[in-house]
Amino acid sequence: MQKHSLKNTLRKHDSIIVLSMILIAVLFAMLVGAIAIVISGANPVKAYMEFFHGFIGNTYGMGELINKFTPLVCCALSFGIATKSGFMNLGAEGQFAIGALVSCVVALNMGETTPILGILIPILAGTIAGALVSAVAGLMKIFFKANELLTTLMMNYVIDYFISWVVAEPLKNPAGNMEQSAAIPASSKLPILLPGSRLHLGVFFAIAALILIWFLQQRTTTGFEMRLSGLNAKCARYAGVNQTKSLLYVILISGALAGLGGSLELLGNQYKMMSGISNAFGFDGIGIAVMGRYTPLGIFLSSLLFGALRVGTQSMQRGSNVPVPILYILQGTIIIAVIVSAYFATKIRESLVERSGER
Amino acid sequence: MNILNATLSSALRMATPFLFAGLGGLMAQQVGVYNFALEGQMLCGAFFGFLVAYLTKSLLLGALAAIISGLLMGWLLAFICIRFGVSQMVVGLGMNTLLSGVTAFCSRLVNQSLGQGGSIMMEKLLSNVTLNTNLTSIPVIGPLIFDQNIMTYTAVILFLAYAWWVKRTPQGLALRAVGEHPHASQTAGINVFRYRYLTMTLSGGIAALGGAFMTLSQVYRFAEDMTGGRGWIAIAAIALGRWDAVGTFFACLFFGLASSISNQLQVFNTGIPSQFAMMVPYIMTILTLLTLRGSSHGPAALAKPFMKNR
Repeated sequence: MQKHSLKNTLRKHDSIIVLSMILIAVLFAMLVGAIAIVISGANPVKAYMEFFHGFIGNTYGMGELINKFTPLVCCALSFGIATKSGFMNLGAEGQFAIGALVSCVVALNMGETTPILGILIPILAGTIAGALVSAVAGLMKIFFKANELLTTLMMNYVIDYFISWVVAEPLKNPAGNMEQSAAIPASSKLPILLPGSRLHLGVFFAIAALILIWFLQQRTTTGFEMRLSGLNAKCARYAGVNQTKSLLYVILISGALAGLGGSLELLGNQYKMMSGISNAFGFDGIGIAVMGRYTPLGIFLSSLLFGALRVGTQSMQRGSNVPVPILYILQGTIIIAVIVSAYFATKIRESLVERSGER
Repeated sequence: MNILNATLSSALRMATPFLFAGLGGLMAQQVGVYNFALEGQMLCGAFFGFLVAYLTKSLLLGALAAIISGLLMGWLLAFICIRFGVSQMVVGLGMNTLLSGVTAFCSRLVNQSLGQGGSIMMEKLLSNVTLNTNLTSIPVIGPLIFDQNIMTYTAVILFLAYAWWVKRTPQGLALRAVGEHPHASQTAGINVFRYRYLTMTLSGGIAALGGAFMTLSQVYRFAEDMTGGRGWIAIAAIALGRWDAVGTFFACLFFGLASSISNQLQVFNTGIPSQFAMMVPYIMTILTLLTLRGSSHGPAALAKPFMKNR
C-alpha cells in the first residue's frame, strides 16, 4: 500500500517537475540571450517583443514556424529512435541533404505530371536515399565496428562538399548565375495550405511520421526489440533478439526519417537544390530529442519551440539588428540547461521518495 | 621533389591544430572525461585570439586571450560534466552549438563596427622561425623540421612533454589511474575531482590554442565555423592512437598529412574538382576508423560519472 501511494505521488508530480524544469531552462536561456542582445546594442525588451511578433498574430510567421517544425520533427525522430536503440546517428545533416538532392533530381526528371505522383515519388526516393546513406555508416559499424558517432559526422562533411560540387557542376541551372539547380516542376511542389503564408502540406507527413514511430516503438515487437537492444544489449541477447537485424532496421529508419525531412524541405520550401540546404536542421534534431526526452509528445513540443527560435531570431535581426547567430547561443544554452535540469529533477524525485518514506 | 617538400612541410604546419586539439582531447579522456567540446573551444580560441591580436597587434596577447577563453570553457565543461554527472556527449554538443553561436555572433558585431560590414583581416604577425639556413637546405627534412613557426614548435614540444610526463612521473600515473579507476584512486589518496577539474580546464586551453593557430598563423581572419570538424578529427586521432600519447601524436601528424595532400590537390592543377580534394581528410578519417575494428578502447572509467556520495 505504502509503495503504491509512493508510485502515485511520483507519477502525479513527475510531469510537473519535468515541465517546470524545462521552463526554467528556457527562461535561463532567454536571460543569456538578453545579455547577448544588450552586448549587440539593442533593447532586450523590444527585441524579445519582436521575437514573439515573428510568429504570434502573424499568419505568415506562423506558417514559417510550422514549415521549420516539419524538418525539425523528422530530424529529431531520426536521432531519437537511433539513440534509443544504441546507435549514435549524428549524420542527420548529411542524410537530410542527400534526401533533398535525390528528391530534387527525381522531380526534375519526372517533369510535369499528376500532383500525387509528382509529390509521392520524389518523397519516396528521398526517404530511401537517406536510409541508404545512414546504412553506409551502419554497415561500417556492423562489419568493422567503426564508431558511428565519428563516421556519421565525417560523412556530413563529405556530403557537404559533394553537394556543393553537384550544384556547381552537373546539376547547375544553366539559365542562372547562382550555384543551384533549376526549380522543380509545379506538380512536384507541395501545395500551400494557408493563404497568406508559405505553410505547406509537408507538416502532415511529419505528424504521420511522429505517429508511426510512436506506434512502432510502443505497440510492435520489432520496436520493443529495438528499444531493448538500446536499453540493455545483454538482456536483449538472452531474450533471443537478433541484434544485428534490429540494429539494421533502426539505422535504416533513422536515415529514412532524415531523408524525409530533406525531401519535404525541398519540395515544400526551397523548390531547388543548393548548398547548405540542411541548414543545421540535422543538428537541431539532437537538441530537440534530448529536450523532448525522446518521447513523441516531447519531440512535438520541442520542435515547435526550436521552430519558434528560428523564426523569432530572424524577426529580431530584422527589427533590432541582433545578429542571427544568437539562435545558436539560445539553442546551446537550452540544451545544456535542460540536461542539467534533468539532474535536479532526479534530486527532487529522490527527496520526494525520502519524504514519503518518513511518513 | 618540390611537391614532396611542400607537402611534407605543410603537413606539419597543418597538423598543428590537430596536435593541440588532440593533446587537449587526450588529456581529458585519459583522466576519464570525454571532451566533446573541442570544436567549440577551438572556435573560441580562433576568435578571441584573433580579436585580441588584431586590436593589440601582439601575437603573445592574442595567444594568451585564446588560452584564457579556452581555460574558461574547459572549466565550464568540467563543472557541468563532473558536478552533475550528465551525458558528456550531449553537454559537449550543446557547448559546441553555444560556442559556434557566441563566436559567430561576436564576429558579426565586430565586423559591423570595425570592418564596415566586411570581415576584418590582420597582417601577418608570425613569420617562420628559420633556425639555421644551412639546416633548412637539407632536402625533405630540412624545411619540414627547421622551417616552421613558433606555434608549431610549441605544439610538438608540448605534446612530447606531456607524453613523457604522463608515462614517467607519479603525477602522470595518478592522472591515468583516475581515468582507469577513480574509486581505487580515491582510496589511494588521490584527489579525483582536482585531477579531473585541472585536466579538463587545461584541455580547453590547449584546444583553444589549436584554433588560435588557424587565425594567427594560417588565414589571418576569422570565419564562422572555420574549424570545419578538426576537433572531431582530433577525437578520431585519439582512437587511432589507441589512447597513447605517442600514438596520438603520430595520428595527428597523419591527419595533417591528409590535409596537406588535400591542399596540394587544389593548388596543383590535377583536374580533380576542389570539392573532392577537400573531402580527403574526412574520408581518410573514416577509412582509419574502419581499420581499428573496435580493437582499441579507452580508459576503463571513460565517460562514467564519478560522484562523491556513491
